[in-house]
Amino acid sequence: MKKELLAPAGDLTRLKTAIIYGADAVYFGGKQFSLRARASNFTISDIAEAVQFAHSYGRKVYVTVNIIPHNSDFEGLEEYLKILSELGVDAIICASAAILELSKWVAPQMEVHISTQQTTLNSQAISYWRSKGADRIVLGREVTLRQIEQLAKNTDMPLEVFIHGGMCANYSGRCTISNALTNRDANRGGCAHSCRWNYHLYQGDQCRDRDDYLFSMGSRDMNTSPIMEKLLKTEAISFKIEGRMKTAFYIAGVVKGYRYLIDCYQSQGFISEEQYRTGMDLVSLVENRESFTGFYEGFEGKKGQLYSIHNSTASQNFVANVVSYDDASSLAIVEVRNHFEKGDVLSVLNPLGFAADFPAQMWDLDGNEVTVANRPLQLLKLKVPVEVNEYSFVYAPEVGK
Amino acid sequence: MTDWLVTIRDIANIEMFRELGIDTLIVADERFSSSPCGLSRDQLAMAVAKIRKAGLKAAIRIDRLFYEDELADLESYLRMLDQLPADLIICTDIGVKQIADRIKAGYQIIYAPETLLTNGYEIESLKRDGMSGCVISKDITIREVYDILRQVPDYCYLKVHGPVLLSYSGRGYISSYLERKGNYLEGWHLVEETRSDVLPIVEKNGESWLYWQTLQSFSEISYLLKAPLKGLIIDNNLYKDEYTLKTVSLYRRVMAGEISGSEALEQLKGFDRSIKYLDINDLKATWLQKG
Repeated sequence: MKKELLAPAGDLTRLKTAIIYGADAVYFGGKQFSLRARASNFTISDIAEAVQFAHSYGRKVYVTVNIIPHNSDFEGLEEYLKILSELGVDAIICASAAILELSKWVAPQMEVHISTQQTTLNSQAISYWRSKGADRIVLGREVTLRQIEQLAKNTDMPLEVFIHGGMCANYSGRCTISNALTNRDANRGGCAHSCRWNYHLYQGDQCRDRDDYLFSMGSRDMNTSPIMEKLLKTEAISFKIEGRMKTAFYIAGVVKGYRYLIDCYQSQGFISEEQYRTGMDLVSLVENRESFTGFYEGFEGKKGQLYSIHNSTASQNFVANVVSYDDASSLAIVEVRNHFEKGDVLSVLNPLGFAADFPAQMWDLDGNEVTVANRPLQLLKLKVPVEVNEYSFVYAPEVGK
Repeated sequence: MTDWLVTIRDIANIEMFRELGIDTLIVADERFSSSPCGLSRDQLAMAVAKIRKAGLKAAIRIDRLFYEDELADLESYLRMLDQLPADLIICTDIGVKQIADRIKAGYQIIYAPETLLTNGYEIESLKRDGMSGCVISKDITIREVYDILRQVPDYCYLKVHGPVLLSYSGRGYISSYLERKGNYLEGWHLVEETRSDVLPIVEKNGESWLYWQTLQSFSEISYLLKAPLKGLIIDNNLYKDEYTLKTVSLYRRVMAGEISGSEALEQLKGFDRSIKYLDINDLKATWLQKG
């Protein structure tokens, strides 16, 4: 059975990046009715372009309509769902039985996937969504591999699981800490991540803080690249990356890493140690937060928690976007994003293959040699020994190590 | 006529709740609920029998989400409750209804997912599916609550008193932090490092529930009783029965016009100074849905 790699897209650039790097399907939110209010999100014309682009590569497009709606949120929803269907959107992802019913009524051919905001953990809950006409369930991130296997035996519903990215500390959709402490509605796109703050812990009047760090509910991010073979052996059909707020560089690295691991498994039935190393290296190239493999092998308490909000190391290894490439001269025109200097060891994250490291040699557009690239958005010519294209990213592999 | 549903910890107090005009008492077991003082199976069976003998209805709180490997035990529990028989089940996992339907259980199922029932269309849909009733979510304005009640009259329940549940997690927060496995049931709370809000927290069998201040509706109760609600819930699962009995008696006095809402609140504050209160209008107004 073909396994689907499903990637997030905060805007059209990131959507195209995800597809070029090998996502089988992409998901994003429109301007309304979607969580992740701070993501750029897509206008109707963006959605039309996204569908056209994705379908031209034979890939699918899912649109998140995953707010927990209030009565007033239904205004304009019917028309919106009709438009999504007419544009050729393959599915919506929603967390509401009312939205599901409305969608099936106005656009019966468009699939409806039930969001992880419902925290569906068992086959009986799935049977409810089946009775409502749902086409796929995104399982809660708290299920173990063993539970997925058990569950798959008791349902014929297609199952989607998360494999990478941020995790809610609480059962998704069942948390209003943000509402209470910041007046921002978590279930309508305003989550302030108050779970990641530091708290003092008391038992009665007695403070029970540890000496080394304060209490927090914050979760480490999920990174299942080390256990991908086990996940691919389950009956789940779709493997989802979280991160509509993430950069194109991040999307490229994570999608390429998981694409590689999935392809290895699908072609030979297993992932070798060396292949694991390659895939995990690609993922870790763009990942700068502490991670764990989620609940899949059982929750390991402290190892899944993030006890200091300051412990993510800012990754500065991404140094330039590729704008174009001249094969004859092996010169790429690049747009500078972070500081690098002549002679620095660089590499490329490249949809056209894997690249070896090379020393930085660069010139301005008039042909004058440049020794320090430190002006963001400056265009430079950079010697790149392998073919690259406008979806390639130049990075400094030694930075941040 | 709006039913009153109230949590009870000690079955010795059933008669006092009956005398205060309560229709339904809510009890919970150790495993399938968030309750920090859940009853054993035998105690639960005895509680249901005594509640029914007193002429009241017995509601069972089943407010957890369930994993696939728990379903067999959950079904066995739901069959046991049918045999007792319990009158109502208040559940958080929609799968509970699917099992109850399959085993043709005789009790009513009230769906209470805490955060997910924020509109009338959702609730109408559940009504069409045969759900006996729904508890409206806390994170909407009081005006939205009244709109929903007009849309789906005589079907919904509303929590009017008790600690506000902020979150439910599949993680054992305290045991992870202290690196010591176990249950942390009563007396634990958090205080954010730059704020003063006291947030009670319960950890039980590897899951955690975080609470906020205690909701109270003394000033709104007369209006709520005129609305087409099926039931009002006093959910004091973190507190002892003495507190809950005092709470109920004060609501009764407000309803009888003997004291005002603010007088009732002052009297309740005097009963336990450690509890911080949140007016239902403030709660609803506070959650501004700024998005």
